[in-house]
Amino acid sequence: MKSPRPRSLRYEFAGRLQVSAILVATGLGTTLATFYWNHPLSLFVFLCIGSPLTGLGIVIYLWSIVTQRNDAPERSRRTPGGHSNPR
Amino acid sequence: MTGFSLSLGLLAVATIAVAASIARRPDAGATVAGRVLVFLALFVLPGLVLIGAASRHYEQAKTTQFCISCHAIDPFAESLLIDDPRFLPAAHYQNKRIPAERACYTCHSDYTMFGDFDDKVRGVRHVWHNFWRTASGPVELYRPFPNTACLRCHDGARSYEEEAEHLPLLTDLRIGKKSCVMCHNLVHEVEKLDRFPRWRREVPK
Repeated sequence: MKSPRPRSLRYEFAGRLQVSAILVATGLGTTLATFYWNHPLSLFVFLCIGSPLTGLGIVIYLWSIVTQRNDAPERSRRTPGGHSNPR
Repeated sequence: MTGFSLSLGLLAVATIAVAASIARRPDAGATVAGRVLVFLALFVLPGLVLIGAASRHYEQAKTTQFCISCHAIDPFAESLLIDDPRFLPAAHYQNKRIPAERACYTCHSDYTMFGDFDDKVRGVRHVWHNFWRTASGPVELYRPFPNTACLRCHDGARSYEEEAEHLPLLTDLRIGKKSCVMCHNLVHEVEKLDRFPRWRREVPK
């Protein structure tokens, strides 16, 4: 049975970063729209859409840097001589 | 618009701009400077904006404008303009015994340790029920009006403590055994609004 082809770690990190940035930008855009709308629904939009999207973006970013650190030994094993590959 | 709101808005716009550029070019995180920028744009700044926004929404939710922007509260807002000093909310509002810009919050807040937080949770419940049309018939308080809301200002005041009718009740009122609205029972009276004239403030020229 063939093992699945490993994706490039760098590509994976960049992808997560992109998702995180999109979520943060969308979440903050929604939050910004609620700043100048003095209505109960604006609080609701902030609580249910703006802050969860931004929070999720932050969590994905943190997750991506934490898992990238965990992948480091694997990367150094693949490099000839066992040295880590400078990014 | 306050300076705080303006700064928060500018910070949010700047963060969105940097986050959007990271989304377009995610390889920006390849250099040390890029990583610092990504850390700022995807962690520090969004965190600050969220904290600032939460604080702004928290303060905004205390304003009279915020409460009366909900249609269910329209008759209660109208009751603040009844031209009759016997009506408790109207007399307080029209004579500035409570801050006009925080009229609802001043009397309907629970002055306990977690009262503010409790109020916000209750407010979100109101919005939820109003939005999904699951609110009960006429708007009612969840529990009897607490004396603490009145005593927060009146307790210790000479006009309150030396009033002959209050004297035998002072202790009972303080411990909540008797309610203030037992005697001061003309409150919002939203079902009888059409029977009373309205106060129209005359603006001096």
